[in-house]
Amino acid sequence: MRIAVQGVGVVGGFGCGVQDLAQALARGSTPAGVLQVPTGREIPALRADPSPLDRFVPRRNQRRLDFLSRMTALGAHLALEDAGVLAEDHGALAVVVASGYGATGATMALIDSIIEGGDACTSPIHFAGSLHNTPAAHLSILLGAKGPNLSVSQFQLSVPSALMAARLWLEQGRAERVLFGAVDELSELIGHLWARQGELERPWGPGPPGEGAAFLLLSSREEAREPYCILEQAVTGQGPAPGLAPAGLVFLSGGEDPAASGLPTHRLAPVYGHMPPAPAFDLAAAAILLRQGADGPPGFRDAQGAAPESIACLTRADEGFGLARLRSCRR
Amino acid sequence: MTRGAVPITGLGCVSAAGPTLDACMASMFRGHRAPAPPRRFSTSHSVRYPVFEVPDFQAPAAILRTAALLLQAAGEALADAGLDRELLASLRVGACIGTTVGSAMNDEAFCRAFRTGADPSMGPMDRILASNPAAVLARELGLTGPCQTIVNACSSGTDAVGLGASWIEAGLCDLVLAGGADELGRITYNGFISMRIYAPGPCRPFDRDREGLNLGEGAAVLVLESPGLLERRRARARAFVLGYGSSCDAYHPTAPSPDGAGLERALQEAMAAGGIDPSQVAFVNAHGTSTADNDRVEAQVLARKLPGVPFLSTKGFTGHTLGAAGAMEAAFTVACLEQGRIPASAGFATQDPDLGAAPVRENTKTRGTVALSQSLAFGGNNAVLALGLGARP
Repeated sequence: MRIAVQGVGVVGGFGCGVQDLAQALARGSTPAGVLQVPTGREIPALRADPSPLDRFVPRRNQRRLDFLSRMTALGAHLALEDAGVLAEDHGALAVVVASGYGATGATMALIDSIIEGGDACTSPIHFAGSLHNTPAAHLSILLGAKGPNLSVSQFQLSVPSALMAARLWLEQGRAERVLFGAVDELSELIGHLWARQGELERPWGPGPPGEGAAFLLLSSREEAREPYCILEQAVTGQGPAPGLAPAGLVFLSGGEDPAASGLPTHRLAPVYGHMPPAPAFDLAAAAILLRQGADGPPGFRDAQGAAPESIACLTRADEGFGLARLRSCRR
Repeated sequence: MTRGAVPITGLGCVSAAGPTLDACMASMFRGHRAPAPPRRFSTSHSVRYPVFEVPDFQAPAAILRTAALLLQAAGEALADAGLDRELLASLRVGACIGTTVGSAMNDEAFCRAFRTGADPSMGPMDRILASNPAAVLARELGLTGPCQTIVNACSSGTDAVGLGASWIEAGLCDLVLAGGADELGRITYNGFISMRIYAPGPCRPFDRDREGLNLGEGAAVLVLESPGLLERRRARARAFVLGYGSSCDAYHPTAPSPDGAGLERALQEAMAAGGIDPSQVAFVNAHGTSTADNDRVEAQVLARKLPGVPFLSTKGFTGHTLGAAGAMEAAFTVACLEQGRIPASAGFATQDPDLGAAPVRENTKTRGTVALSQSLAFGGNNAVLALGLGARP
């Protein structure tokens, strides 16, 4: 079955939307801002601004959305707009959302309500917001998406695991379109853990911590618009990754993997930061570069110096690996 | 669309009703239940809201109680299936596990210390990061296949079994350990009480005078096996996953859609996937949380779509175990199919005229080899499993 990437929606420290990400990829990095951690320390960080969501969702309808859900909603709306289907009915749309740490901001707010007011003053709003599937729930309500709905939390491997499910739903005919994405926030708790431990998101290679949302509209049907690329493979497991050849390029998140040796490999954390959703940003970046082809930035050429025909996105963590392979639609 | 049936060759369960699936079933058919105020944590509520705690269970210090409960259930399921580590090592084995708190960065003591300006030890956070349920299972058992922790709130366990079965169907795995796990804790306890859906006494699913849910804890694991492996091992299937359906209400973050349309879609998908006619359904293991909204929507859908089919809620015996509930109830459903009977729906006494249907009041013999187990969740998720009797006993 042909599964196409029809739309890309991204928000992160580099900005918002395909154009901003493409420009950041061409630059090779994004200047980091500063995250003030409650203990007083400051750490470099790539923060996201979800305020462009106002363009899609009236502010009064955002009242119940916390920062994580706003990033989710923005990334998802951008992907649908990019695919040219935003105005369509989304009743049959399936939604898959990956998050490494979930709603840590709402969780802290929930615990704050207990600390400040006692058990009887626990905040029901923050409790509901602290659930891992809250971003997917808000997104489904905003879009009227009534198809299958899945939230996955597998820390560093959340994205590959969720992508495998999205691909399977399309292959098995449970949906014709899946809005797939990943989101995480640099809450004060996550910021503190970064400052304290530094290894929360093992800083393999250069790049500060980041936050944001990256969404892809995946489709198994004939769509009006030319797709970005084809999703050929999405697998995950333990042990070494399967061979990556004949990938022209490899985007690597996480640790080294023997499968990537000898192939031109890029780590894109300097563009959007270290975070569990990074592999979803890798997919978005791969989709953009495959569509741009020879018009893309020269930094991303295959071993022969040509624009890549395929890109493998490899995630390597202590618990296992994830591998997605995207192929160009160009002849 | 009719898909292939996925064999279930092993079951394991630990809950307040018992430390094994057999013990849980025996306890439920005896009508025993023992909700009590929490023993493992204290709160300052004026009412001592009851919980269903797993007694005499101690988790190792390095992992969360959720993960430890899961490992116990997995051990029972693997033994039931006649599988050992040596055989597992030679197979492509996946782990697909549902949870709600097993993946949450919510250690209260750490956050309290952090909030008061202290610099607490990273131990509690390291423990959370080491306790992702599916990852724990993969690590402890040396599994090499796909690994997924599903966080779809209270439908997570049902979704995990359904999605795990789809991995078998797709040929991704020889075997999948699918299930769910969740532990009791102060934060979820306070959270549900704050939402005013927690009963001050023992829960009464589908009863006219129901006042809300009781939380519980536990885990269940189902061994899902490819037909090819089943044949090679000359093993027997206890049951089959015949179909799975899921949907989203897209209505409200914490309330089900009053028209039940989402649940109907999930029900329809599961039955269509299994090629099941309503007349074949022996019984339904309902979500039955004992909240006003859930029970009304669920009973009305059952009255419309499966009139006359006996149904029950087992949460009167186990409490609502959140991400574990769907997997536990799938295991109970298989055990009931094997025994040809279902236990009385604990806590039910008085019919609610608004519901249009009532659960069974006493242990009831059932006819047929197919049953449904369904879950509704915060976020508007609905998930349904169609399960069929296998060759055992």
